[in-house]
Amino acid sequence: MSLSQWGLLTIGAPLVTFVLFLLGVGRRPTLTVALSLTTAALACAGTWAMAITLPEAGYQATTPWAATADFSIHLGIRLTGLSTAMGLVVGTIHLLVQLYSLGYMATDPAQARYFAVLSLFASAMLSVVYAADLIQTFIAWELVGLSSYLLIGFWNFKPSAAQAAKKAFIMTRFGDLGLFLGLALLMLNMPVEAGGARNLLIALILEAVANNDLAGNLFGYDQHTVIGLLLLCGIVGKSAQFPLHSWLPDAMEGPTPVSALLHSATMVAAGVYLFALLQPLFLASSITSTVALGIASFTAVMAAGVAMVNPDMKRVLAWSSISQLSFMLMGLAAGSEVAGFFHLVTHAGFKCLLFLSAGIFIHLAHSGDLTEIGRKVGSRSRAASLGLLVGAASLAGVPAMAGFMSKEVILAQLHQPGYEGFYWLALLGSAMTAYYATRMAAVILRSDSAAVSHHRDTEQTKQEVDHDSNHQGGLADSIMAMTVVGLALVTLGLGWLGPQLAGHLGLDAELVAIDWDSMGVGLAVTALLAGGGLAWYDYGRTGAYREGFLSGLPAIEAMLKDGWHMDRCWRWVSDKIIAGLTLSALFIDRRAIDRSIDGVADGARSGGVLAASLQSGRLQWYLSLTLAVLAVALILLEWK
Amino acid sequence: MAWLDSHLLTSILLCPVIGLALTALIPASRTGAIKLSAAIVSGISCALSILLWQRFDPSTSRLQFTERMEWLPDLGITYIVGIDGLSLPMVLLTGIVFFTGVLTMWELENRVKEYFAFTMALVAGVFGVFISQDLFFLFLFYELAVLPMYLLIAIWGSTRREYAAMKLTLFLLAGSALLFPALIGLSHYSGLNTFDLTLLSDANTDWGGMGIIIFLFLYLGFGVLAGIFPFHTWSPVGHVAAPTAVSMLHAGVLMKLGSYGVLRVGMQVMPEEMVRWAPLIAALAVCNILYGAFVALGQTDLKYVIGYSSVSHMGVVMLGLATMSAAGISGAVFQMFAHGIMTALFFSSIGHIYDHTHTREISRLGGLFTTMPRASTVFIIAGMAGIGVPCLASFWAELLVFIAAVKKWPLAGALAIFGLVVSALFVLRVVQRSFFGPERDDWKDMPDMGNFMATPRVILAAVLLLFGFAPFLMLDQLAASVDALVQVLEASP
Amino acid sequence: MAETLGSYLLLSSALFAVGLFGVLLRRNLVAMLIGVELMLNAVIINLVAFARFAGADPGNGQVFALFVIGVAAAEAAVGLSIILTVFKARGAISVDRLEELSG
Repeated sequence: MSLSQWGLLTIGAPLVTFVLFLLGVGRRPTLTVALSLTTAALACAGTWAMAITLPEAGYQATTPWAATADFSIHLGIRLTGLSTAMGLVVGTIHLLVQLYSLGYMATDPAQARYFAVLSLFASAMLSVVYAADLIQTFIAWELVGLSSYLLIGFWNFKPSAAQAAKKAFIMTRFGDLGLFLGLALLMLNMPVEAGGARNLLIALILEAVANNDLAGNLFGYDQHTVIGLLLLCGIVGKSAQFPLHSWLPDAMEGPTPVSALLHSATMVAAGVYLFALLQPLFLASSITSTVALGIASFTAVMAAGVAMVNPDMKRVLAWSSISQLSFMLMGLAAGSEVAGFFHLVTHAGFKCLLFLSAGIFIHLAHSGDLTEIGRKVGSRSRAASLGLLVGAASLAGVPAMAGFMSKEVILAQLHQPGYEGFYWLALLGSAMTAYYATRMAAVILRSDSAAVSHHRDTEQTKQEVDHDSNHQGGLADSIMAMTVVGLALVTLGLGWLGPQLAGHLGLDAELVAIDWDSMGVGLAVTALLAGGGLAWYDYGRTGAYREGFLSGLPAIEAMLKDGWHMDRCWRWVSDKIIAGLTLSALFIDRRAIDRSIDGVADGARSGGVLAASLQSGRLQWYLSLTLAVLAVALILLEWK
Repeated sequence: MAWLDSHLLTSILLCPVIGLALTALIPASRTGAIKLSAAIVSGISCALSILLWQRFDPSTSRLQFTERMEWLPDLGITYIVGIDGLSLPMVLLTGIVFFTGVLTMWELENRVKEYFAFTMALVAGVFGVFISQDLFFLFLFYELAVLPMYLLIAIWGSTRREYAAMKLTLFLLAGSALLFPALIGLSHYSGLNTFDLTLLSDANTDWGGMGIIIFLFLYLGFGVLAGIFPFHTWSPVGHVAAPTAVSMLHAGVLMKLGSYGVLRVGMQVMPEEMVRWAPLIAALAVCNILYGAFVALGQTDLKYVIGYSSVSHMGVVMLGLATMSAAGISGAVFQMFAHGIMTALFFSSIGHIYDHTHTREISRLGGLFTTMPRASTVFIIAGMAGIGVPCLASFWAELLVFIAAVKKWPLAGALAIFGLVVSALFVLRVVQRSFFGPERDDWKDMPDMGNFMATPRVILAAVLLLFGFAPFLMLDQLAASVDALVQVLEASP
Repeated sequence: MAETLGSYLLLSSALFAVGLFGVLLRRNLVAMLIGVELMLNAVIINLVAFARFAGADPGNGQVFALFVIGVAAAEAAVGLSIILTVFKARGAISVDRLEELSG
């Protein structure tokens, strides 16, 4: 098969599942699930085939899809080291999640819909990855948003799920506003192709950036800056960076495997991927890259802080994703061609692993609360414990684990003159990461070692538990356990694949090599030991109080638990600004416009009433009137 | 086939006329026969418009399938029908909405005969406007399309129907009162003493001082029907009061008459005036988009939400026209088509819900996705189209219009794009409150759409998806005509 | 009194005024009709007088006078039959009772 056929198969196969589901196959759940798994396997095979057979010079195949005289939009695939590597991650994780869901969703009545939308999700994400035209990326990007809306709101009979789905869609949409505007401006400033039309083929954009064709002023600023900042809005929304991050923790309302996919390889990864794709454009403006670095480093610390105190396992993981995504963006914005992306790959592995383990824990404990899980399940679930250990170690940055290897590359990139502030923030973030990762593992796995503290049940997980309590059956459990163990093994090795990845991207393997003797590694390990040790003291050691050191600072702890009050801010925007605009528009419509128009109608009516009052119906009144008019006319005529 | 080719447009026009005659001949008590004849007639006209689409030659901007007949030579009135790329999508839209609208009203029981008779008259008028190439006939058909609306709403309507019907009729007649002198003015001041649109557009008349007056009369006259701000309040009220299929025809097709009129008469005959007034038109269009979306956000009645969303989406059409670029005009025509199908889908879904729950209050509904999965899916598909989700037809339309708008007026473009976020807010708000959430006891036993009643909805959704996946189907048909129009506009000072 | 145009016009004006007064102020339809007849007669006097003193051929005025008398007779016939119908329908012939056209 040729590369373009593989591409079509990879993107198209999962889409076929969704379309067939819509066309009525959905009435037969088993068939839909079988179809979904088959297409997932096909897509995964396609991603591997494309990655392996990728020619040195890359590959591109496009076809014009929508064209007018001034703009043309293409669909197609563009295979580069970056896109095939990313595709590999997406295809593989998607297949794993589908397998895991086979167990997790075994008894859900709407199973068919779940698998169909999951397929759409994968198809859309693969389309983001392989897109040849930036408009195609945008289309797929929006479809990723749509399918995550449908998946987060999968249990839409739960008001909280419906609310979370809406929030996710609106907040990312808010960022897409900038993205769309940026795309439009980019389109308008691209060099004109033969035939007089402009297009947004990614290859051409990168070429234009390299040739400095985009230099120029836009609204008084450098064009790269304006376009870059606008595109960055979309990335901030999609990758859940400050201030558009608060949808991601709420997105836990979806089924856990969805979170696993959404947090690792799709949706949030789309933002980072777009940054990696257009990295030269962003780096062409120092303002844009500094803003990106600033947002990312702030978010990294901020989100890690919330993860340190949150009592709910899935929410801790969600805040951790936000923080880790910031690390990726920092690597990319600091100019490294491989660091951020490498971290994306390893993070996809260990975060997916953590979520899949969390699924088993929550399923067994019937609760999402960390303490509760520790009390009821603890280390009794072998597979989940293994997953949690490997995942948490990786997340915390234990040397030689996947997360350490990639984060070290990012830190090395930041450890340069000019980036000092960001570097220290990143180190602080690392220490905090080590703290919450250790805390999570310790609370769950060493529960028997300490006094049981008061437990807190969160509203959201209670409801998910209702769903979970439905499933019984050994087969479902063993499928889930096997998936987790398999992924744990993969994750263990993932960190050592840096050189291969760099090679695949066409870069020097030196870029990901770690200088074990450097001060950077020393500092990173210090951060790990500081954070991890503190958490161990608070939670892990025998006889620990099981209260974070932050409980000594109630004001800060409360703020962190509330997610830095960001939700409150957004609620203020929605309740005050949006609602205010709505009310004033309503007021104008009803009071000003409609009333003045009704006023015209009323005016006509009262004019009629006035005129009608002349019509007394009395014959002699008419005659007198006639006479009077005649007399006046006569006088006027004589006057002349 | 040759005969059909040369009389295709008249055949399409005659379909509803024949339907009207048939309906008149069948006794009122035989409602089944009336519905069947309406379905057959509308099916034929839909099939003919698809045939027209398929036989249309996209390579030329000249009128095709033309037929001419002298009517009143002394007054310069000729019966001319013909279509180009700009009217072709409108004819197809009318055919589809007509057919699906008839199917949607299959369960009607009250005064069936009169209902279908008025619908036929209305559709005859709509088809007539889209294919007429003579201003006099265009106006005649325009009036024919507007007047049955009054009866359809006043007799079969719901909430405040007399008020709505009266408001709508008065608004539209006020528009006509502006249009008629404008059309006479076109014929008179061109010095040609003709109503033939092609002759008038080719004449390159220097309108002098009269240009401003005639163009503004045309813009306002047609614009009222297109729901331009601030003359839009009749339309949501009308949508709400009208019965389901009438809302579908009204929002889906009738509002397009206005924007089509601006495009066909305003832009084509008076390009210089269009160039002069484009900023004003664009500003009002942006008002439509944002203001309509915000007002929709504040509504409590499902139909009002959709009614105001139409106001917002028609703003996109007018904005596209005002950019006067190939992308903008193609996008505008595409949006007219996509919006027509989309609102028809919206109203047909709401119609089903209202028929069974007897309420349209967003807060009283809830959990409908569990009770009526089909009706809800239909609504969600329409909603996604409404907020410009890709793979549904309106995405492409909005994409083209917004890029064109950003090119010409960056601020207006940015505001219009912001309108999309507000659209997302109001659509998702409705979805969340009315369709998601726990099932309500009140609606537990409500039936979902049956297979037959689902058919028209499936057709509409399929059309949205088809053009969403394959926008080139539409854009290729438009290209030649749009390019010709853009050249005329660019040549104007 | 000298036989001049002025004295005839004075007579006809007085007659017209009396007729007008009758039409405008009487409530009885028959009386109003009589008022109309008086006004017509005033016009006849005018016509004849102008023909006698100012016209070239006095015959013209007399022809018109005869014409007006004919019209007046027809008018009286129509008017009286309307009054009769009104009386049959309403049982009264006062204009106060005929106010249906009030707006």
